[in-house]
Amino acid sequence: MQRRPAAFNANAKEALLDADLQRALGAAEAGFGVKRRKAITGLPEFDALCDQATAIKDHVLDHLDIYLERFETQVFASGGMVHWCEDAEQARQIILKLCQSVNAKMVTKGKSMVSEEIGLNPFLEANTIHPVETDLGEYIIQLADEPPSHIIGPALHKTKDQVSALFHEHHPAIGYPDRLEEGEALVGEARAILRQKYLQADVGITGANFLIAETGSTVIVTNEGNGDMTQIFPRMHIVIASIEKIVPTLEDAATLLRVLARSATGQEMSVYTTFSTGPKRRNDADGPEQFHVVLLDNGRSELLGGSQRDILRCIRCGACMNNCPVYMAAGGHAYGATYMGPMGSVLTPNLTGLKQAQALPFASSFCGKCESVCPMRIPLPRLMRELRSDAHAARITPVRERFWLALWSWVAQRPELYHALTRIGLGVLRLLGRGRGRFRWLPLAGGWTATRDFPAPQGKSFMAQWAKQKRPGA
Amino acid sequence: MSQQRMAILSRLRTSLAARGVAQDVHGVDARLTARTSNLIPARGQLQGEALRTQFQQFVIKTQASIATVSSSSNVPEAIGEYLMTSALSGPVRLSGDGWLATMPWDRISSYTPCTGAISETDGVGVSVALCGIAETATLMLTSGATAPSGLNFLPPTHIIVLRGGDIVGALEDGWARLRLASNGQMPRTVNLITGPSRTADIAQTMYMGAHGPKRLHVIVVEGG
Repeated sequence: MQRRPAAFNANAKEALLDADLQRALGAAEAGFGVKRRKAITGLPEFDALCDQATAIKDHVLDHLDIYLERFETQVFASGGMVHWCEDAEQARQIILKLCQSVNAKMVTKGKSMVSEEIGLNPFLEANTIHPVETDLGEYIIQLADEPPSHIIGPALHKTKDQVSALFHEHHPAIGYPDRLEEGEALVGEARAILRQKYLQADVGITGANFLIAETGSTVIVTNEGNGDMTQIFPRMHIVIASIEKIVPTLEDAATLLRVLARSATGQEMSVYTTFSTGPKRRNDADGPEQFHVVLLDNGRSELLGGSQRDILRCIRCGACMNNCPVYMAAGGHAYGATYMGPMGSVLTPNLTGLKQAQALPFASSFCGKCESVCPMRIPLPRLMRELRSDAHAARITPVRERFWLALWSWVAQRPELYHALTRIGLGVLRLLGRGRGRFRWLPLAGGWTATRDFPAPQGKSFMAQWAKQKRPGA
Repeated sequence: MSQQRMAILSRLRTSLAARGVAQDVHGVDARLTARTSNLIPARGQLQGEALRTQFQQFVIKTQASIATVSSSSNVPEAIGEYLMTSALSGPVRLSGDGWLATMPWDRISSYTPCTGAISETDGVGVSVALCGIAETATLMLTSGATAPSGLNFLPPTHIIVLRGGDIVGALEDGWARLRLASNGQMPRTVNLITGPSRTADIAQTMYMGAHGPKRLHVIVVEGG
């Protein structure tokens, strides 16, 4: 798999032939849909809550500058620091500086997609600071030296056997010689190894699902508890979050929490939802001595002004990819970017530039399922369609594709000609397909006929039949 | 302030102006002060017996367990009974909570109940919840001088003691309790805990006890 969005088509082909990946995706697809539906059935107000959640984020985006200032004021008031970063490089540098200020050798990390976005781990390694991912999925892919393939299930592409082999490759060197086969034993081994890390780490780095303007709190939502131990035990807690994570009040956070877990894992509430506000207070029994929030822009402030703004409402539940037939066939690595699935196909071109990622908005059949399950009502197909036409207009799509599209568009805008051509085409196909009633091979449709037959047309076109039906007395 | 801060804010303002959104400092501040609740689902608005019943049922649904005692002096024995039935061992690390300190821990001395700094070898952690939220069987715990957050995560068994009168309906009722208890100042850590730790990161199969506690047991004390 190539780690670049332009390689989507080649990556997807490779993914379809990967038996382990297809097995892993099959298990995921079956589970996600059922769990989400069940959780939503249990809450009659779900749709109304989604409408309110959408309105909350729309309101925040319309006043993001002021909300960020209010958030900053509250972080200061509770004894924390805020660091504003325009791009990934600034964010990496400030995090390095903070780690160096406490002579950090090892940092524990809670799951953060923004950390992936800025490429934090390789950068810290290069500066002799060892980052340890503590979310089990992130831990697995860190051992495998792979990026996450899903925003909430980073190791979703791995089978149990692959995890077993991976642990056996890495763990004997640190005192765990036996190969484990059972899931529970594998979880137990990772638990034992990481337990030591929480207590030894100098710095804990987490992401944030939400930033609360009212209180200056950062919020993480997890099921494992790793993020919590990451931010409780080390003496410095660094939060890395992108600027659109702001939510006005605790009351607004309640509304978003009600739709987040149900959309993501089908839980009514994730196991641990934790609000962190400033460093430990003077007499507190535990907690970090320093609290830093690193705010990342990385293209979002410009995105806010354009027609793709709605993607900034995204709360990273993953429902769009869990319900996407393309994602579930190709897997997350095929997208070659930090964010995958429908939300990634919109966000990536907007963050990295359409030229590098123009293949992604085409990675959709436009079935519309993503939009129908999105709790934040993001019109994902519309946004992808817009990116497709932008790419066409900017002449960065493949030449052959542009030629055929232009030809089709020219014909389609001339109804008389279009109908005449369809009539002729249908007639010819009907004539040729008389015997068998289907085609094993057709010119220009090799992709279709490679895996199935094309049925021969049986009569007149839909338009012709419609016109006939409409005639009075017919 | 920093150059980066100014650059980001200025880009945001340019973008918002391009969208034709008028700056509304007053509106934002009014909203932050008003803290108006949004829609609260019906399941978060129960009271009395129905509230209690739902809380109990939902606790079990989150794969935690729950017991009720009639007085705080019965808490240590209830914990002893739970540890015995589940074949678990101590030491039992108590948070420094003043209410816990009034309970007769000598009745379960075989489990070596103790206070003070958390140790990796602690078998059980006992903390007190600020409130229990019946909407999702979520327990709210706050950090403080007598309440280390680490105790909620490090020991493999977590026991949360809760006053019956502190069971509320919705998360919003929890926020009201929190603001009252903390005098409007957020504590460093507010944990909302809904069941024991779990993971589905290996082949989408659920395993309990990923990093946090493998077992969560809730003890409701009637009559305060």
